[in-house]
Amino acid sequence: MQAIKAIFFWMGGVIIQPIPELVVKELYDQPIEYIAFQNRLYLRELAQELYIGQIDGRAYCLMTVQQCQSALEAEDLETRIIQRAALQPLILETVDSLPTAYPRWLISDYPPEWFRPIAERLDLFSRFQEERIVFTSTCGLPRLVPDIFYHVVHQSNQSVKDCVIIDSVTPRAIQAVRHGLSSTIFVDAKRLKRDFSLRKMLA
Amino acid sequence: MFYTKQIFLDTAGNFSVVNVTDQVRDFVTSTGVKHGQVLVFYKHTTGAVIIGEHEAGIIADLQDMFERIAPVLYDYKHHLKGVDFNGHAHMRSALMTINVTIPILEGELLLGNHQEILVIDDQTEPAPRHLVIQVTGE
Repeated sequence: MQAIKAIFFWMGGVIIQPIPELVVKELYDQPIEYIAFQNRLYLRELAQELYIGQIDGRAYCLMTVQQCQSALEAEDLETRIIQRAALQPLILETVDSLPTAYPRWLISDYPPEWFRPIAERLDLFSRFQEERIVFTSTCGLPRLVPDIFYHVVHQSNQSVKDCVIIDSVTPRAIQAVRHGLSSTIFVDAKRLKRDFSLRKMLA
Repeated sequence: MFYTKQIFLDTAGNFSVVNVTDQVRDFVTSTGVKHGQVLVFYKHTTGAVIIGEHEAGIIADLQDMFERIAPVLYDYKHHLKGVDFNGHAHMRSALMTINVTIPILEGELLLGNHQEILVIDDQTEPAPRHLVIQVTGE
């Protein structure tokens, strides 16, 4: 069995909702598939710019309400995101089930100005030490993938083969294995816990 | 009785994989069918529905295998039509399957521990994809 020396959780999609899905929920009170395809595509592409810091959270909200022709103000959308981001069911229990021997890292695709109030409200700082939280928007990455993999592995001071990344985005998880990391595609906490068990990571 | 539902999936194409197991399970539950089967049918010619493990390494290996069998860059006759250039996706779709059937017992899908229902979209552009779920039983 491979020795795991660092485990990286993505914030959006694993710990809480992905940003585009949360935004659509706040704008329309509907799942993302209920809005026009072109708008969905636009929101996801715009989120990529947010993830690597080409735009900030406020600009993302402003461009989103314009594209969706929403009556909501960008500032109000931003407030809602911060106040209503919610944990994936049972995710913290699953994180807590990992023995402390596995250093936990958090890759936040939420910008720092959104992350801190969300993390305080959801008690994330008790699970993830601040020095092990990496913000994709402040790393200076020209592209998210695969650059983020090398960045976080370097930050952890571990070998790439000793790192596991937990990601809900299948293409990104596949890119991770292509770059030498082990990865788990997150579907829900129950499946994730089963994956930890298969890897013999649970006590 | 028959119960049919269509769902729409967003994918980025290019061998995108979407796990629809929970959506299928939820629909089966909603029908109240206890004994029967569910058909999951993909309404396109450039992708597939398979039952497999939703594991990144396996999907990467599948991609690599299909790249050897039906590479993206190849002089497919389909391209002579000049409409689109996705010959590889048609070939791969034909080699996989566009539907799967799963038995239902006591209202539960009879899937193995690691079996998930996966939709593979190999179209060359992002597009909404349509999937039919049909439950038969009583």
